[in-house]
Amino acid sequence: MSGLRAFLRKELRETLHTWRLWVLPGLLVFLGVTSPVITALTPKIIQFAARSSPGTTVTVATPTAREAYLQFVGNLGQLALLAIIITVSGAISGEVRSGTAALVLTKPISRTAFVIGKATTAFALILASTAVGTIVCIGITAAIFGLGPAGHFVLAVAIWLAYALLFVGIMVALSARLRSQMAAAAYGVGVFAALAALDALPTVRNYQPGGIDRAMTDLLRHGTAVWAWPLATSLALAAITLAVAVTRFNRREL
Amino acid sequence: MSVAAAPPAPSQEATSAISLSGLTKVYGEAHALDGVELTVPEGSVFGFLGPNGAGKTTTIRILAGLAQATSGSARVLGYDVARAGNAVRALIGYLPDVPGFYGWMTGPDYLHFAADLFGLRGAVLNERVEALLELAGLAGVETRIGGYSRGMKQRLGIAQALINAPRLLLLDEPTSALDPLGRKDVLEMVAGLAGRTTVFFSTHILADVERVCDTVAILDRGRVVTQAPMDELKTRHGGGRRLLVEVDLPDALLAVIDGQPWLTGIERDAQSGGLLRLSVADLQAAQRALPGLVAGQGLALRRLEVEEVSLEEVFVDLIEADRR
Repeated sequence: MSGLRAFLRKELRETLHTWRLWVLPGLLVFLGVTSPVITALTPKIIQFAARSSPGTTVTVATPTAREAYLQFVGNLGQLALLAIIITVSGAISGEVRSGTAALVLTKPISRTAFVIGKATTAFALILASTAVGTIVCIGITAAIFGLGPAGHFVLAVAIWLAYALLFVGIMVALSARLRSQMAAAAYGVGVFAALAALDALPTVRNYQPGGIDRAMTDLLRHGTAVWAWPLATSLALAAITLAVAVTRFNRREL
Repeated sequence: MSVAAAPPAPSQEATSAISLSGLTKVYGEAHALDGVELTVPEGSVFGFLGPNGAGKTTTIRILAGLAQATSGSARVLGYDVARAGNAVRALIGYLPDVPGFYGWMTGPDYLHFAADLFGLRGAVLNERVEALLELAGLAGVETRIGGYSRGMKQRLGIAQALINAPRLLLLDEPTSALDPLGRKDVLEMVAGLAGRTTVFFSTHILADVERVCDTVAILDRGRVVTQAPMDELKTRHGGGRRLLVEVDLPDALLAVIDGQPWLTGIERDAQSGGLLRLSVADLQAAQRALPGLVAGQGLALRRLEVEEVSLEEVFVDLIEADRR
């Protein structure tokens, strides 16, 4: 497994030396900063807008830490996932297209290790970025509103990470199969939309991975949510998609 | 962490660096390789020639594990390439025609990474990286690889292919995109490896093969047309030898040599009317007879030398014959 360790070291250095360091971490920190700030400013913005319609009375509830956390998890479920889809879509196809994969894979590292290395690095970056973004969000929220349901917030984010891991698996599998990064991203967005649509079906909504989105908001609003099955199916499907990625890449000609 | 199953042991016939048997590769309806039979002796510098599209790169990609054969077998240092995985990758070095590097790395970075993949550590790693950078003419170059010229990337490519002191070096058109100085450097590096490493060198530049290779195979349309040591190839397929003869009155000489039993062909040099290029079946008989014939006609003999058949002529003749 020395090949995998060496490859992981390379992936870590690549993250620190290239654009990867700024996109996802930058986005999560940005969301961490802006979620509580936007929550705090929203009532003032609405009231300011209402002044342009004389005679209109607008009553805006006083925002709390809960709303700030809801803003953040809402962005996780949309913006962050789309960013993951785009940034991971070229994880393998990019190396194949540039020829770097051919030079690496003629050395003692298996294609399985290559795929695992790519998925591991992608998820590690997501984990680190999310942790930093979450901490920033809690810090700024606490400064503006007080801590609020921070415990539920952290649990909601932790559950979301399973959903993120599923999308890492999906995008690595698509990248292992398709030559084009754009095509992989397009399919990834399609899967994202399909899972979101499944949430409308009563028979499956409590079991399918897209249910994590609803579970996050339920946790913050009500302190309780149906998250065990969506979490389990996310993790199981993540493992399956990674296995598919490995199988597919082992057969691919470089 | 589970231990991977041990790779199948190399076969007892490990004297060949490469052994291809019935190797076939089909893409849709096209046969890129069509039952290739080839043996590369260990320690040789082996030239793998063929016109564009002959299947040279496909063969090398199969040997390097980047592609799978449709049928047949490919063995490298006794290992079945299709099954041996890391066991064979630890023994080979590979340079594609256009090597892909991580642009954000420097040359030393990449060599360290390559060495890391092979499990090299510490002093061995550092010494080897330094030596290879020196060999590649990249010592002291701190620029990122993204800013390298094509020639610099090619030289770095050879350095990374040598990082594990491979028993077999697979080079796919290593000089095709280089200027004459770059080609000279790469060929000198390859020539310096003779006897220490088996070099399998695919190219369509015949002059490079003539310069460094001791054994040659010619591939055309997915099949091996011929394989032989360089000298034997020229003798076997070159139709004997040629003599260059220059006299003051060539027409007089032509009158007496026509019909000689050792003569198989005559060509008059277009630029120098006095120079004749004689194709001979028996070189020694021709060399003994010619001075006498020249003297007998009272001619001045200005030049008499043996001209070797070039590899290019052998190559063209073989390919044209194969296609008829």
